[in-house]
Amino acid sequence: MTVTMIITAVLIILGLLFMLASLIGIAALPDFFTRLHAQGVGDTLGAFLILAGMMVAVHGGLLSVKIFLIFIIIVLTNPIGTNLMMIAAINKEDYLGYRTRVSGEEAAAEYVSPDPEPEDEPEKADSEPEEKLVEETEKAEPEKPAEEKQEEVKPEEPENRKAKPEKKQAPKKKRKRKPSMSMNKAELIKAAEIRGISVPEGATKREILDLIYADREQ
Amino acid sequence: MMTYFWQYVLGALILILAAMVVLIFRKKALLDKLNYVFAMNTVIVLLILVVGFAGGREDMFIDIALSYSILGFVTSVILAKYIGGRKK
Repeated sequence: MTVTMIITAVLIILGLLFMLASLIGIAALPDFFTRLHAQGVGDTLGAFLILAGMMVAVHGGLLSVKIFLIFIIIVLTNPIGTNLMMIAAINKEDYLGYRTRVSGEEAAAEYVSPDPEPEDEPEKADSEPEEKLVEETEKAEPEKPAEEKQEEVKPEEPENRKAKPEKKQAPKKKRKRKPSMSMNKAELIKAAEIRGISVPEGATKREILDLIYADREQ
Repeated sequence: MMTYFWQYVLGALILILAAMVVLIFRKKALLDKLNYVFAMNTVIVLLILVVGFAGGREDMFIDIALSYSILGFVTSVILAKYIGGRKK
């Protein structure tokens, strides 16, 4: 039992522990992006410790350089892959409004939610607002339990693919959008002021929406 | 002495890999499965190395692991691009 053996054993066992932690993280964390983060633990520190143990085990030299090359490749390529996966996840579904939030308030103001019915039909719009309000509330509910989020990834795919080209054309047309729960609070207050409604201090989004719809029905 | 140690390490890595394969089938979302494929890539590279050490032929298996790490990366990137679509 030489010194190199002991160092190798300690490093590799530590690395295996990190791999195990990474596995548990990927399996158990609640959200897709957190799971991506957990994968990085095993890819960097876990792989590094195991490969360092192997580098000690081959007593240096050319083989040890090659093992270090493997580590370099892993460290260079895995962040690229993780980044691509994250882009795929963001493109797939508008993840909790991530795309609209990330590009600032201007983008949020121009963002048109992809509902197919146009604004220009007053009779139809008058008959429907209650239904639509409920729908929008469900869609824009920010705090869902984690399981529901996960389920959402798959079944919504065809709908989102259809909606994408519309989303791209919409800012050019500058179509006026209906007030809904998917707008943020400042926009809702602005929409209310355009209609001549005075918004009380500290009103929630829901209350402002109720005021706007009550005004429209009169 | 050291051979036994490498065999235990081999067993542990195989267990981690088996757990990942089981979890791939348990997760429902497609991107989660892709995440597992990425994590499995690293574990397989380490597994190849440990197989070499356990058999006493590490000089050969290190080259295999080197090429596998590059190939696994290419596979994963192509899969991610295919699933995610073009960025707009």
